[in-house]
Amino acid sequence: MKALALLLAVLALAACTATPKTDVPEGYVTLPTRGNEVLAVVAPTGNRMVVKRHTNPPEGTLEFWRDAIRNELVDGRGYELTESQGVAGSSGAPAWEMLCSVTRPEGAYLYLVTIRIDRGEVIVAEAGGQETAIRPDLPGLRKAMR
Amino acid sequence: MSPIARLTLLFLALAVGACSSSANSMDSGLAYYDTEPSMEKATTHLSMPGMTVSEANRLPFNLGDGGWEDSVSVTAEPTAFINDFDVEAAETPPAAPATVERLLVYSGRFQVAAGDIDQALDDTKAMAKDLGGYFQSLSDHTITIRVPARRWDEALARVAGIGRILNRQIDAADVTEEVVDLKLRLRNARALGKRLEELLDLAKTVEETLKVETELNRIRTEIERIEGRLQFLSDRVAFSTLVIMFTEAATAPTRLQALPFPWLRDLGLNNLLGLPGGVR
Repeated sequence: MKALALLLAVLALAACTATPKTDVPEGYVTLPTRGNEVLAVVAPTGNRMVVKRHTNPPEGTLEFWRDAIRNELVDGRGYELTESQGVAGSSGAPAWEMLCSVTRPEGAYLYLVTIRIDRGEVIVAEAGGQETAIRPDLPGLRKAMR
Repeated sequence: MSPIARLTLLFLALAVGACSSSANSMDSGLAYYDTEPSMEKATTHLSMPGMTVSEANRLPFNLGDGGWEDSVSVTAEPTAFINDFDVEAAETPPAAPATVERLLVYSGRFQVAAGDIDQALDDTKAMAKDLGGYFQSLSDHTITIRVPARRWDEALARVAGIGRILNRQIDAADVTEEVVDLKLRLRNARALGKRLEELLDLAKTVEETLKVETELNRIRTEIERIEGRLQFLSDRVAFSTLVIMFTEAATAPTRLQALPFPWLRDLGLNNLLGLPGGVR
């Protein structure tokens, strides 16, 4: 009986520490991950996508992180929010997706960020690149980031 | 050991194996991950702006009267930059590489919030003139000015007086190696051209003359191309380029109280793409 309990505990532990699954978008290659990165990929054009996980306080809801990230990017950085919508995550759990346009002296960029809550963690996926380079990749990136 | 205990150990080993396998695949080295751009960037911008006459004279080659100190005359007499190069000195290995002064091309891009953009554009033009530089181009709310390299730091400081700096990117490209290489190639091309001119005088048939003239034309074209590139670099070294993009102050972002989640500050394009300019 003790052994069975131990087995269940091990299985539960394995499930808790499992890496959130994120597909590599077509045309991208993986990069070594750093820190709390789950996945980092790059396209030949220089577009990048990174998925990170962060500890989520018990009360942290998707709406909390949506507002916190929106405030950071729009009010704090001056990003222009062009899309903001709730989407279905790959696991069926709700996610939130925001697309921002950013004008820099050297040109226009797009920044896509998707947030979801997964087993007590905030999973944040970011993608960015020069607008002309990343716009054709957006459908694939959206799919991979959810 | 009981079968259940063995099964438990097996599951544990599999779980650990799966985790470590996943970690290894993520850490597999890709050497190009943090590859720097091919253009060599200088780590400091202190050697050129504000350089004194004596400091300029310590450069590995003499830029002449049209060199560093009087950048206006560089444009007026670009050949001084080309002709006064001491090839012999350049061929001599430097005794102490750490002391070699570098030829740096400075450029900066700013995003600045201003209440009155037209006034800010006028102020920028006035600043360029005041510093001994000139206004180069204007497109919508983006202005490009050129300022003497020796007054670069002063120009950067004065941008802050025109408006609120939202974002800035400063680059210093080291062109020393390219200039030395171009000088050597120019010397060789000129020597070859001179030799071909001598051969032309010795040509006895039309066919010989045509062959030598064809080669001579090629060499002359090459010499012109190298001289043009040197002239361009001379201008870039002497005058730094400053691009300022103005935005309405009313639409400029106002940062809210920062939340106690440091990773929020790591979000954004600069971190993601490795772009310069701080948090943006």
